[in-house]
Amino acid sequence: MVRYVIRRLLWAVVLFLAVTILTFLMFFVIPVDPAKLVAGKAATPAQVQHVAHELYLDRPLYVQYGHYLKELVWNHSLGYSYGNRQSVNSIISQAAPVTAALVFGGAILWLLVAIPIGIYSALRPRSKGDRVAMVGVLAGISAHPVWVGYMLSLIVGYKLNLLPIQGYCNLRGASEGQTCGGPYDWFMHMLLPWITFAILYAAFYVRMIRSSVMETLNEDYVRTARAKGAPERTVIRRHALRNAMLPVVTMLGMDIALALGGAVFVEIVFGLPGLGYWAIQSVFSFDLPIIAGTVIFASIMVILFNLIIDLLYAVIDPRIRLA
Amino acid sequence: MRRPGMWIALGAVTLGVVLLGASGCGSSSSSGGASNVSTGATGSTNGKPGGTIKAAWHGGIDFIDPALAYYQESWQIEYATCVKLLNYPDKPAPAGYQLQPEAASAMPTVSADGLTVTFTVPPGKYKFNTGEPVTAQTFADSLMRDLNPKQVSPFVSFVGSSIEGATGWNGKGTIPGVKVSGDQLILHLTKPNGTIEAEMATPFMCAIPHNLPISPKGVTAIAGAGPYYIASYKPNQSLVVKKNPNYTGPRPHLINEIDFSQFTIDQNQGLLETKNGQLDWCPDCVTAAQSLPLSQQYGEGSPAAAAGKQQMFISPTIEVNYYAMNTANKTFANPLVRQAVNYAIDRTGMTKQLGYKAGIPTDKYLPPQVPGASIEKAVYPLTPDLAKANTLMNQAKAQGVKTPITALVYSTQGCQSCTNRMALLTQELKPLGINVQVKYYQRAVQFQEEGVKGTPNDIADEGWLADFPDPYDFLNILLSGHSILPKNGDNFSYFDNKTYNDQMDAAAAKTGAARAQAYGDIATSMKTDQAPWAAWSNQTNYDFFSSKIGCQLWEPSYGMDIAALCVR
Repeated sequence: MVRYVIRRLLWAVVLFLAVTILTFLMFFVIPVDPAKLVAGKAATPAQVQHVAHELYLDRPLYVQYGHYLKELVWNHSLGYSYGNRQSVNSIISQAAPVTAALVFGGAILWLLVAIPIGIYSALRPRSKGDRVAMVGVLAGISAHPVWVGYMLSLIVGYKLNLLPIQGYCNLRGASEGQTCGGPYDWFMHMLLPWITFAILYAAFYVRMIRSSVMETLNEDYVRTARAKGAPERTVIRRHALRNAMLPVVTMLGMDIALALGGAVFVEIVFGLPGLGYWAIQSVFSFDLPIIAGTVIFASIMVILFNLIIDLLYAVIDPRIRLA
Repeated sequence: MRRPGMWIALGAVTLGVVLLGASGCGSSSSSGGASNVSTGATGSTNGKPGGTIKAAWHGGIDFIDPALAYYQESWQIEYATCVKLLNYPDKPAPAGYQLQPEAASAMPTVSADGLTVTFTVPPGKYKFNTGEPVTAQTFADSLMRDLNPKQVSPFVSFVGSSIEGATGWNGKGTIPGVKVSGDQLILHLTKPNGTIEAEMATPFMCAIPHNLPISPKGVTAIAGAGPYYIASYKPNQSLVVKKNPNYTGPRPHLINEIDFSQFTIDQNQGLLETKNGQLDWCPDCVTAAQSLPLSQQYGEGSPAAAAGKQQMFISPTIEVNYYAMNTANKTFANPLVRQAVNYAIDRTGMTKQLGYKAGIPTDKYLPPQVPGASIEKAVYPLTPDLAKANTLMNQAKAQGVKTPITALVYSTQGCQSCTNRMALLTQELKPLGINVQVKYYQRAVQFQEEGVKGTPNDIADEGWLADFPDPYDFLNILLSGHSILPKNGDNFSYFDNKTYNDQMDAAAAKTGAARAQAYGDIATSMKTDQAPWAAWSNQTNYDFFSSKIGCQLWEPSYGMDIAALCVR
């Protein structure tokens, strides 16, 4: 187990370096000079050069990358935004909890919906309930999250005035200038984003759980358990579900990790200042430090969650060896 | 025999039709129409003192630090919170773009040789919200902080070469060209500069508290001496502006507080919240697609306006949209070809692509509010005159120009109106024997590609929003040969004509009516004779408020005047 974890961590470092190099190279290929953007419209070449020097942009590429990596590893600094010179660390530390709130809350919601519906559909295939579920799945997969978000905001938020139209409230309370804050406001503002975020994933997971459970129910050991006289509930819970959940766990880890990199559509529709929002804004404004920061953070999340999922596998299925 | 799959398929199709129908609800068509844009918002003036405005941004501001702030929205805030030596009055155009003294007791005196500019600042006329008085030293501090190389301020590109001793200053001590003597601020210039007043009136020259530290990252707290001050600022999150208790000046200040609670609001959501009163204002939320329905329901001439509760305002900006024809490339080297393009394009049709009243068609190089614009003559028609265009092309052919010509145009990716206009341009230039090829770039990339000397593009699809309403900021920056740089240039026509360079240099040293006359004449003759551009419209700005807010006033230089707003 320990050897496995060490090996995975070493691979994580290699992956991390590869991601940072690729991100750096990708954005330096684009012919945008951030120094010119910062220096002003009518800046002279000397003034642009001065700004470039201040922003470390006039050094060779490998020197810039080395400086960036050094700041990252030794000073834990992701640099400063070219746009408003704010620390990328502070931008990400403010954005990450917002995205985490959206993703984890959405994940809980989609699992609460998908697991019972998926199991029900698997146990009663081709029944009326199963068919209604499959039509719902199709709708959930087909409806784009942006459209779903806008429709929910328009109908539930604007027309019916049942929930806030958009926005994010700090869980700890409102600071000066903000119109909402505290657990209740936070929860009410997150409901529509959670529902929007969860719909697509719930649809996928219903299908996946349905097919996984159906497949597991046909296994020999399930037939054996039934033959031994075990109650159906016990057969499903102790024998079928545990094995059927393996692919679900795999997908869950991957989906959460990827979503933590930025649930872009939902964040933009509902004005949530999360990682997805910042990723998009920084791409449009060619703000390399923020782009790099969000990519690196997302990569760390993917690597971390993959490791957690692999470790979780050993807990769920003792047959799986880690070494 | 039962066919369960069929029911699922039918159910899916039905659901799909319902979803399509629902998504079609609420859509609006935007027929661009650019006529009858007012000179600027003048909402109801019956306002009561007090109240709080709840606002949000889609894009936010960049800084509150006057040395660094450069976004339009940032300057809009600073217009409410700053006091400057000179300022624009809280009035719509044309009065709104006449500079007048603010902290200075009068317009500056300029020496006969134009090299010494003196401002007199009576001490204590204005005070910061902290009680600190504004003095001549205040503005000297502001200027030197801007010019400090460690501050990395864009203002260096404005006045860095004009102020004696500023170029190469290492930030230690003082700048030789900036002196304070009693209540006088004295600037020594390297050459006569007719733009110095406008430059001193930019928000970069906002009065700053004594000992405000040098901060290349930008300060996040600053006292203000204007009608309002910034009470709190959390970058990317919130901004609170409150009434300055020590302000005794003449500018309006009815509202107690303006809270910008969000910097990330989606535009459509922002409009919904403004309609139902959860939000009072989102300065950058109205899109071209929403402009027509909002104008019909809440704009000028609507039932809401008739009831004295206009909420939607469309106002002109100091901006010009133009096609810069690359005079350094063979394609548009002949001025007759460039003139022919000016006769061939449909300015009205192209302006309509921007959205409902999103622009005012024009052929002028100077936007309406800029001195000299009224003197510049309209030369080219707003709708195509193909006969005249072909006549000019035939003259060009007689001089050796060969058709068909291929013209490479750089335009902006992800901009629907740009795509539509390029289709029009392609269609309109084809009869002249000019075949248009368009290459789309992300905006920042487009700007940089066009700014490289020797760039292969023949036409740059561009627009320019002024930093201040002065013709120098248009003609000298964008059309003088001195502006041509190896890279990062702004003269995308690569127009370098000695006669016009000299005329623009001479005009830059003039002031007042003489300056306006000179620039108006230059714009007219350059456009008629050489036609490096085909200007086609001046952009407008949309603002949408909740029904609670009144006293809207469009200040031509800074946009919607925050200080003038009131609660109805």
